[in-house]
Amino acid sequence: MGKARRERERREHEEARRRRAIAIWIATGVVAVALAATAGILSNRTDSAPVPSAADPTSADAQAPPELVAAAKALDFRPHTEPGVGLMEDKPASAAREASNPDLLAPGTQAPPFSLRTPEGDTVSLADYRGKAVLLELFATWCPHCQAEAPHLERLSDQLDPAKAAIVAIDGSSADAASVYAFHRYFGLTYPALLDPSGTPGSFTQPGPAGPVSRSYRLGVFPTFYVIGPDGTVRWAGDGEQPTAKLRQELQRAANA
Amino acid sequence: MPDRLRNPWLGLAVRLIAAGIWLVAGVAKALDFTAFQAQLQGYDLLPSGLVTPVGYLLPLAEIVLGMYLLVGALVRPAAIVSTVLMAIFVAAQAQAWARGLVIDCGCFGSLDLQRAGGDTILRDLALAAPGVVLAIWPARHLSVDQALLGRSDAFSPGAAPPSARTLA
Repeated sequence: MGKARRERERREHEEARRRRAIAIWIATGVVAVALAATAGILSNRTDSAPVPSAADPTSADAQAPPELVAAAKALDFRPHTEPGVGLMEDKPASAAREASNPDLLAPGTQAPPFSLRTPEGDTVSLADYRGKAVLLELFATWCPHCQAEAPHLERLSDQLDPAKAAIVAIDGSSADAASVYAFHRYFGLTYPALLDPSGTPGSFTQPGPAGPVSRSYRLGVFPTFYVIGPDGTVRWAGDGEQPTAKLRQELQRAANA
Repeated sequence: MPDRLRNPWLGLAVRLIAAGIWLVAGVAKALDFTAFQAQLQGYDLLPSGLVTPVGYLLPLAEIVLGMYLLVGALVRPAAIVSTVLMAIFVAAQAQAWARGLVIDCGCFGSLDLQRAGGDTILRDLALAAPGVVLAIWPARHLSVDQALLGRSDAFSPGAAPPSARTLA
């Protein structure tokens, strides 16, 4: 009698353990499905800042040669966005990430000299900025991160003391004059955007290879930023979108050093 | 050979180390999903449509795996999953290394930026060890498996693996 009861209890005990094991496996399945669903929902998020709207063209851009204006108009330049674009610029300086390109010129290196043309044909040289801190941006007209940066850089440029600091942008995708002009005009930029042709022309619709100056600055990711000190040495390098506060901080540090 | 290593607390320590590795790796990646996705893209293995979902799934899965090992739920299956994942990571780094890709390992997200190569492969092999040990000798001291399912602590390295003993 006692033996039968013990046997029954043992079986019940076993049965309870089996049920708990099944419950744990079912819970694990639920966790796995929840993980997959979370990943799916997160990856379908379209988290991005709105596409920057067109600014009034600067008077210089409004007075550009008519053929350049017409060629730019034919391109139908308009910025676009992707998930994750335009979310960095308003963050605090501490949100800046380390550069992903390990080959960027290190601080202390002499910044490679350049002498390049604007879409209108004016020559701009790094030597023109001797004695000032320079924020150099290597950008591409088609790059959504660079498009998202443009209005922020323009505001930063506006706040700089022109005797101490300046911003210069170089197209790193061999874009033609019309594409760079269209970009410059759309965002109403007051700082120069320079052409760096590689021999294989690119455009807003057709990315080209990096030109010689962009290569000398080890361009790997759009946008790439350098802060160059008044003495012409690299002070800071970064790539990808940056908090504007970080760029301002690095420029001020270089200008006041 | 005396079974000196058969110590439930040693087994628990191994399990907690394995749990810690996954929790740290998962949380580090989850702190900056976008950066981890960029690192994943660098491996040039996944179709572009899969980079983002896997970039979210992997850090979350690592955290959950760490939790399972921490509380000791399904210790052996969790340890097997841990070993398989580590094997995949090592293979991914080996192919990147062989192809000469200059990429971030991404092993610990943006916490530890290291170029994927021989060093990171060796490190991952070392980090895989606790998982392998647990897959062979599941340490169930103070575990959900022991408390709810009545499974015994099978941490007894030094003795032959349980399966081999059964066969003998």
